[in-house]
Amino acid sequence: MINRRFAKGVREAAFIIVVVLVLVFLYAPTSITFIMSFDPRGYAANFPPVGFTLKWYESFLSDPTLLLGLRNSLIIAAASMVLSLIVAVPPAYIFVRHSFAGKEVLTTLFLSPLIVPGIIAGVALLTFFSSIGFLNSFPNLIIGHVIITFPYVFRVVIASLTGFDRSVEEASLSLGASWIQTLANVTLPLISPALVAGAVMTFAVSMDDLSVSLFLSDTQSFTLPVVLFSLLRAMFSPVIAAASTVLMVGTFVVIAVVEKTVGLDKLLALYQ
Amino acid sequence: MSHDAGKNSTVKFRRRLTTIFPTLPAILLLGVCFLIPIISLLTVSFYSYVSNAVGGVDPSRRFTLINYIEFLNSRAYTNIFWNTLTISLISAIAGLVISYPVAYYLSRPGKSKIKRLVFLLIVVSFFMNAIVRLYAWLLMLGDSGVVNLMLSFVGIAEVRFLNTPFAIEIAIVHWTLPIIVMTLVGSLRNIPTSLYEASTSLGASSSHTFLHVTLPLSLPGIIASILLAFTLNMGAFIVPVVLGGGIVQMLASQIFLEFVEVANYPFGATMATVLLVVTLSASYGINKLLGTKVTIK
Repeated sequence: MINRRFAKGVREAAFIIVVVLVLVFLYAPTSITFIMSFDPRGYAANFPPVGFTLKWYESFLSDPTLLLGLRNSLIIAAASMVLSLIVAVPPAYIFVRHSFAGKEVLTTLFLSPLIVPGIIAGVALLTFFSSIGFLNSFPNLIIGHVIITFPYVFRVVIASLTGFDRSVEEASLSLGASWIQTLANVTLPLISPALVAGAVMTFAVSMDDLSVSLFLSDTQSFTLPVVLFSLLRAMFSPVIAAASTVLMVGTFVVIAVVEKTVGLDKLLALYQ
Repeated sequence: MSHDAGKNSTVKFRRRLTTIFPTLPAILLLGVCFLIPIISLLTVSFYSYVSNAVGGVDPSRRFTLINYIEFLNSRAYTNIFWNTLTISLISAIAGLVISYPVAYYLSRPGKSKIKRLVFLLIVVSFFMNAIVRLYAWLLMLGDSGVVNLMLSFVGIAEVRFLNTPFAIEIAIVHWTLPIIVMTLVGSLRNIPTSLYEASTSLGASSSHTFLHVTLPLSLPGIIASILLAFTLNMGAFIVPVVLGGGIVQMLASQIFLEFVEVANYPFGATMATVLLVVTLSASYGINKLLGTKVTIK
């Protein structure tokens, strides 16, 4: 008995050690980026830092190219978030509530941006836009971002609609509410956590995207990750660490808000 | 009677319309701006390269297999192809081995605060952006980086990590790990708890239960997550561009260079077609195994 309990204890301890090691592996590298973004030395400085400075954050906030990138990223992320919701929520509703010929094929089409590697989507859009002579980068970037974020919204709304009791809607209709009233007062409030989760996922994916943005950006319309990527290929400057840290902290703040309001588990409908 | 039938079909027609109309923007968006571009990408791979044309695409658009012949005949490109398969497979298996214990820990019955915290930390780590990660790996793996600093404490001479397959593999595993954990948790949670209880109550030890109940039942999930990680790894191009330093190339990073730096769309499209065929085959395998329609990024 004691032996068995001892074995169980050892096993538990082993699990905890493995889990902690994995968490260290996940968080240590990025924590080092974070720490080094305060290092006063310039290019190619190595860990550990020799002091503390905020000058890299200052140079990020005073660099016109990086700021333009940030501004573009925010506009594109906001636009693709709104557009993804507008385009993806109605079909998700229809797909759960009705069955019709060709639904399977359309589902595959709607989820295909998740199956096709991001780089393929990027080069396909580049080839397509250049072959039809549509070279206006800003709209192209938004279209690209809506395409790669669409499936997240579509799927999370489907998961949420499948989960809830349809009789609530029927009750509303039989009590004399019109279908528009039912949609606005019953259905939408019930799926609002899914809408929040989908919107946040869209925003986060769009803010961090490189796979589509790298191919659709030009010298005027570029996102922050695209500028940072080309900077990173050219030099190893702590400004990159500072700017990407700001980007990451922004994402984490949004995720924390999701956790506090609708719960992060909602985002997990995206994982299955 | 006929009037009634007419009314009936109008109702049917209107119902059909209310189903189709909300779906239309999505069909247009993904049909015109996703499906057609992919088809046009595949077509471009069958045109020859003309140096002064837009994107290097032959303006006469004559069908040719020259790009595929060049791809198959060039030692450099077939090497890149095999490199891509090896790096993707090694990273997928490494990711699985690291993820499995964590997924097993998270999916065991019973709730605890620590489990919840571990779960949240893993989900959140998925949202660390690519630039932060790349910068981190440059700091970690550089010649006088953190890993070499730690190795020097135990008396190991400087190891060259950057521009090796290892650097790419570790960065890829770091990126796919949360996704593999979540996929595994999903498949482990589908195993009914009653099976564990039955196994234990019949006197099996927990290692016996693991080997004869849990492991076999999670096998489809294991294979599916290897395939999923494999497809993600195949598509990774930012990591090999930066950490491969032009010395270690993968199919996806070479595609990036062909499109962005060389502007040889036909040859880039050829490699993109190869990449697409391999990843779609793997995705097909996942769907068969899990019985679901999707994979996630």
